[in-house]
Amino acid sequence: MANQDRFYLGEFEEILLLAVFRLKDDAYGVSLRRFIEEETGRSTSIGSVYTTLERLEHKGYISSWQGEATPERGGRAKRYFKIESPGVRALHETRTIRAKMWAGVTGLPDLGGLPA
Amino acid sequence: VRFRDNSLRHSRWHAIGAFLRHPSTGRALSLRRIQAVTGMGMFHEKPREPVSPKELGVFLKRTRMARGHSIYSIHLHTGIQKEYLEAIERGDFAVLPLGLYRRTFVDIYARELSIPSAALQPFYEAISEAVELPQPPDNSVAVKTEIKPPRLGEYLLYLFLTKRERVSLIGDIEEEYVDVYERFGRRSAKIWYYKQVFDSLRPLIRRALAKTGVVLWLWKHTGWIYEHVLQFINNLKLK
Repeated sequence: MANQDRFYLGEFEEILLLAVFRLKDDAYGVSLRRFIEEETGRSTSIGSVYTTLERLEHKGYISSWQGEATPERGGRAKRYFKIESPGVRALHETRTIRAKMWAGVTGLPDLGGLPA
Repeated sequence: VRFRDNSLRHSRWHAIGAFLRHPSTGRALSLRRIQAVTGMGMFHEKPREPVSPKELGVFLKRTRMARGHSIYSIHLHTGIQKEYLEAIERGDFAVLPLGLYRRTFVDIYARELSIPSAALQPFYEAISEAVELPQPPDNSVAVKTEIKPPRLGEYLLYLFLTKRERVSLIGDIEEEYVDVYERFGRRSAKIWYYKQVFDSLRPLIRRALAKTGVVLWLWKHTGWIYEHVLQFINNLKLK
């Protein structure tokens, strides 16, 4: 990989990282999945959320800790996630790259049906 | 105090033995001495359940005498009437006032003899009568926990989850299942659940394969079965 020393984010990783950041203290599996579904309009499985979270945590972009257990959860504890400074840096970098790439885009054909 | 089998199995004896000190030297008493003072039988014997009020009385009386106190001095220190103290020592708890007082008197008496109340814990069931009012059952929690997602999905997920994810991910699915159940009913909840499980299995299996690499070939040739199942579930219409 060419980008191993850089803060590289995949698309879903970026979405998830932003969701973790925006949900602040309430970022756990259920809220993250719902938030992403509502914001992006894509159906998202809890499994893909968790595998991506694991990857992000492995990279050091987020950290997690065990939360409380409620009866609706069958007494199972939640796991909360929080963004860390490498994650923030990765978001900045991704944003810069995107902005650069989009800056030169003109006359992208409108295929219709999509909001501008 | 060391026990013959060196265990805490008879924690009642342990608790009683730990606080007993020789009145003049302050040293811990020998097993034989504790046995003589408390009159409570062999230390390697399993204590009988429940302990009778009589035994408690005898225990308190012997402890009091070992400390060199009279009933009258206890009465002066604690303010408990002599008749009550004597009744406690006889094990005649019916004489004492009902309810909490009964326990409180024994508590105060024991504190005067510097017996920790933990040591008396096993006796309390013997002297208290059922004064606790029955609590109305909390239905809201009970009903909620009755809604359980199908076990099958859980088992399937278990195969591919890391130890840490098992608690949180399966808890998450269950939480959302209960939510969907309450809003849309059982059938929708089940469809939602299986869709979630199978959608989740795809990235989980992919991750597991990436880790092993060996089974990649197998997946390549049997993956179509999985795709069929997924398509079937996706074709079920949510209400």
